[in-house]
Amino acid sequence: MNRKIPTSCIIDNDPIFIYGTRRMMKESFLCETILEYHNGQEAIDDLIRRQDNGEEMPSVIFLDLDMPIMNGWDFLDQFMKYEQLMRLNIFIYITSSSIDPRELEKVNSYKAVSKYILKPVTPQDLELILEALNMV
Amino acid sequence: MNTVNDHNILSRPNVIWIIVAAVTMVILFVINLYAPMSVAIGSVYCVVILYSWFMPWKHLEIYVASVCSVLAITAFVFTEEAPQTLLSGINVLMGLIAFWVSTSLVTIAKRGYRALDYEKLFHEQQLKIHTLELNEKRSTHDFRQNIMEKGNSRFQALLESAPDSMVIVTDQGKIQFINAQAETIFGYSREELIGRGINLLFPDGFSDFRSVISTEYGGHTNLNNRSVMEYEGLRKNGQVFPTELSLCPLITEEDILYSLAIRNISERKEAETNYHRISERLSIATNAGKIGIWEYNFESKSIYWDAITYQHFGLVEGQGDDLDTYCKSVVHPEDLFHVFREMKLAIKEARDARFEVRLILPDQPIRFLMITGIFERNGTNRAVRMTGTCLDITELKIAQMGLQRREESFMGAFANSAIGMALVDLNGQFMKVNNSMCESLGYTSAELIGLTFQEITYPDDLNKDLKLLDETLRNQRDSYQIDKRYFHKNGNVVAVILTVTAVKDIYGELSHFISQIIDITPRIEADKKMVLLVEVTKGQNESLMNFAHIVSHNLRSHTTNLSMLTNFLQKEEDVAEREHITNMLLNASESLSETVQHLNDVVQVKFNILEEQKSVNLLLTMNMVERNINAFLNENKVEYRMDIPESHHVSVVPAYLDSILLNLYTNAIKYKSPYRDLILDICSQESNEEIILKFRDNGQGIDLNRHRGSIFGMYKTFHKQEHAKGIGLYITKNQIEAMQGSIDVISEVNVGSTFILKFKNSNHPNNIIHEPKDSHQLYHR
Repeated sequence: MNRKIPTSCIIDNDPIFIYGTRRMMKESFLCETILEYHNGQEAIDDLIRRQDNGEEMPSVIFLDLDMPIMNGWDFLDQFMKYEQLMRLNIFIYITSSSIDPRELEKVNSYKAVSKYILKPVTPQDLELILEALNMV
Repeated sequence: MNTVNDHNILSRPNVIWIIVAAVTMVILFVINLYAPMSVAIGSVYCVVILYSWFMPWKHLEIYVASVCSVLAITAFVFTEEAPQTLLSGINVLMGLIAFWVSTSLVTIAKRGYRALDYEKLFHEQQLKIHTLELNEKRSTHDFRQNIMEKGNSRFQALLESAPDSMVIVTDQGKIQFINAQAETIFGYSREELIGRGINLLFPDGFSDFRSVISTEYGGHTNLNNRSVMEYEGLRKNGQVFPTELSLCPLITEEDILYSLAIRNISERKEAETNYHRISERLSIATNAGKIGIWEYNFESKSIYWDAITYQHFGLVEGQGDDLDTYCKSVVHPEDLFHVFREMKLAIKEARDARFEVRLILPDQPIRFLMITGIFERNGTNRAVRMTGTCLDITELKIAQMGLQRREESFMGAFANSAIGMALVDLNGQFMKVNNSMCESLGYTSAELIGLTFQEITYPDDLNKDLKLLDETLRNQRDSYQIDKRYFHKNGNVVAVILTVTAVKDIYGELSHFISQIIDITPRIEADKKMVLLVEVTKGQNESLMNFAHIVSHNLRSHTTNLSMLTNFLQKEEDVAEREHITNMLLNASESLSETVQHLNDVVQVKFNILEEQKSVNLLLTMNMVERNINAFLNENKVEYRMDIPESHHVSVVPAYLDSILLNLYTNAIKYKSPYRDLILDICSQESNEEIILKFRDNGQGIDLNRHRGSIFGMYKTFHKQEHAKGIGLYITKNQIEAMQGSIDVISEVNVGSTFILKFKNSNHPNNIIHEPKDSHQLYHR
């Protein structure tokens, strides 16, 4: 199994979560670049810029829902509007502390979302993600 | 006997006239001595005069006198002895005058006889007969016979002229004589009856005449012993008729005769029968109608009562000696007074008296009598007698009182009902309304009575009411019930449940309606309040659920961070990295405690805290808040304009108002535009029950298209601001809603935001906060 992921992306306003996830990813597989955004707006703007510039695009996005400026849901809405981004078949994992069933329900209505991961992200979660990526 | 002369020479007046006539003749004769030529004529004339007294031919003297006169006049004309002839002419003339005078006098005398009392005459006649009997020695049989016959003829004349039917019978009952009246009433002629038995005319009464006589007189016949009896007479044609007869003996020297004066009393009998029938009918009627009849004589002070009156007064006929005293003892004392007054008035005003009295009879329920009286007055218009009726009206009275009681109880129920009630005429006009009705509609009774229900009905509801009313008018229904609305006098809408019932008069015609309204406005208001409450509760429930999720989310994110970091710390051996993790751990625990603090703040915002609210001057509070953050405002070069009238008072929890205002200021400063100094524009205005506070800034603004739904949500932040916690507006909203206020925002990115806050106006009567001192008094009464 290929344990290498060229580029991944974390969108979260919680620095501790980002630190923890980075550290866990480091232990599980090799990831050359980890893009880091603190809200949806920041993320969508930069992703579009990277796409336009022909830069390396992430194959996995960890997306928090509760963020200022633009939350996870709005990011998803924006993301799905861009045909070029959608064509990339990026795996989007929602990472949230919320156990609100309404949010879990809502997740199912987004095709672009691969899975809902209840924080914290565990090594087992990363293992599953890796398997999914390898299957493509 | 028929040819018997009317003149009876034995009567005293006639003798006088004979003497007068004789003297006249002598005078004439003397005169004629001097007139030899006329002697013959005068003599003849005198003879004629004398003869005329005894002759039945009444008019013969006229013929003879006429012939004599003609002869005398002839002698006067054809002789030349003129003076003598003249003398004899005077003689003739005087003779004629004398003749005329004497005949006239005789005629007057005859009339005088007829006018005499028959009975007296009869007795005179009898007396004469007795006198004759006493003078028997001087009389001869012939003389007596003559006298008797003459007497009979007088007697018969009397009988003929009697007004009653007269029959004379022998003591054997044989009819000897009947007069023309008797012929008429019995239908027989004289010839048919004379010699027949009287039983022919009175088959029942006189079947045996002798026995009647002996019963009546017992052998003692006496002239003055008249007996009157009533027998039925039998006519020739077989008809029977009632008669009254008066039997009287007539004593002659030979035998005893009996005269019967008979009178047809059919008419009297009929009148009597009618009278009996009428009085019987009256008695039946009065008995059936229980109408008592009474009479009071003012002069003799005597009272007459009939059986029914006795019964009405609780007595048996004839019972009670002094009815006047008895009446006064049983009639209710109050009524007694009225009776006297009514009697007095009736006498004074010359009208009939009419009054009702109550009787209190021992051991009996009270009895009501209706008494009427009619006065009989004498010539001087003084009331002498009073006659009247007496009717027991107890049942009627009891029924009347029952009806009255029912009516009173209806009117009582009508007046005091909690349901609005009205009597409405067929055109919809109020005729009578009760207090509840007035209260519900805000009009006085007098104002409502001038109105029709159409005038005060909410226009949308009028047609359905009129439609049903029309059906009721057309007898298609007796009543109906609808929900409808009226206008209160103050213009508000009053919602009611209306029940209309038709009332018919005794002819079955619709007379009016009874409308009943149940005012359901308070119920509807309560319903509205309840719906609102349900909504609020639902909202609160939702926000509580959100809150719970937020809490769980936040707590989870911090705790997971903490556990994760702790995990890393355990494994990490690099000192620098360990320090880094430790710092993060510190941050995480700080965040956790901060979150807990926030939650604490949120939980402290209680809902519906009306009792803690106070009236606060908005301007004063504003100034105080401003003073507190004065340094902060100055530091940020905030310019502000304030337009809050001093009179504006709001009903709030003072701490909440402070917190809200503070939050608005700090938010405005936090999110001010980096390109320009902050300008605040704060103003308030009064709108009925509310005070509207507008808080406008020229800051960054919020993209409401994106954040409209979440602007007042928890942990919602809209700016790239480090210290944006997303808790301030959430708490502000909760606080303001807890005080029944509201908050809204209009905003444009890079132009500014205006927060619009609505507070309860504590100057408005609906919002006046009552001190609960009344409730204390309740416990100390």
